[in-house]
Amino acid sequence: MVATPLTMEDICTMSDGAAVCVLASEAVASKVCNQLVRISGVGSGSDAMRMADRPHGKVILLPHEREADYRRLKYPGVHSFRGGRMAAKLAYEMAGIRNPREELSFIELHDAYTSSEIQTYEDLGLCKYGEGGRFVESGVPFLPGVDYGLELPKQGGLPVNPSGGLLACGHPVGATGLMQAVFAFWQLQGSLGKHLGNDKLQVKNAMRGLIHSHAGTGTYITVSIMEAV
Amino acid sequence: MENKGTIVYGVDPLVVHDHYEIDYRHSYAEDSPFFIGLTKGQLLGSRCTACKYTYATPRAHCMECGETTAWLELPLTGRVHTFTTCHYGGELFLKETPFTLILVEFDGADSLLLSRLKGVPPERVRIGLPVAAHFSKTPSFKVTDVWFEPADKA
Repeated sequence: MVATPLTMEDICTMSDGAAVCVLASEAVASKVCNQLVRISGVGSGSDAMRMADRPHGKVILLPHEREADYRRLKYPGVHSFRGGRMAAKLAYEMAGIRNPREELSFIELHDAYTSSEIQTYEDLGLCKYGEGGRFVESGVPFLPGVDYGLELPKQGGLPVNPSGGLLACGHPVGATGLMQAVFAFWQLQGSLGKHLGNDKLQVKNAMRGLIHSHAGTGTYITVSIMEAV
Repeated sequence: MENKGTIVYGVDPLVVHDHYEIDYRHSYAEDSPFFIGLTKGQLLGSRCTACKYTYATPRAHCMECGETTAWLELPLTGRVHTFTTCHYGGELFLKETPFTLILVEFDGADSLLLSRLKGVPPERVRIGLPVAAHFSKTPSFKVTDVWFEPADKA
């Protein structure tokens, strides 16, 4: 079922697919791989199954935010995912990130719908709640050096979904989150060109990336931080 | 069914008509007062006996602190918190598309109630619209026994 204001083009395709990651201790990993990637932060958050059960609490604040920013916000309502905010907060704390907008090289996030990408910018604290639309228009989450035919004053400040995300890749449930980890791994190795045939989507000097996966409707969300070693 | 033969819609792949039906004895358990309330024109929510968090969609236990809740009667008017227009739906509602689903916010309640909004075309629905509860005169103990319409029409 497609409900307003979304249209078919705003919704990813449920597809087949597979992805694999190998986790190993540093000692073992350094023997089998010459370009390691380290997982420096992991967080998860959950919320009530029913959207109607969620509204009217306080915003879970990130280090660069203040309570005064959200004095009149009914939170999380149906516009935000408290589970996503909690997952981000825990992952940032573990990785020592104070301001995600400044301290990440790229993000691969769960854009099953165009709308959920904007919601996730806010949950991850890339901009304040309510500013996701303007954040897109500023151009920050676009790739630098690509001609989109749009006027984007801050193009490429923090590329989001250089892989194309779920909207471009499809959404093989179960493999989707690992697919993001694989793309992040290649970005941090600087090896995207080798795997995709050209390096058009390679983020230059990618040092630290975030992957974000989502189950249900904001019911269970995970955020992981990956870093080049 | 034996005498009627099998309806075949296609052979590559083979697609046939089959009948499927199930009777279900369904308990509403601790949610029962809510559905009985609908038959009396009452909208029941619940309030936590410890932290006072108030649920417009009743819950027997508080999701904030885990304590038991007590039933309370919600006002029969509220506001549209948000809405969506459905252009497709389950078989039961297919003939009614496009229809509008709303989350209703009530004074004095912290959470919301999902319901249908009738009596207003989708393009005229807006956030904050005052709405009033309407109850089926032939209730069937289902959530569809209650729906909302714009309050100024009531």
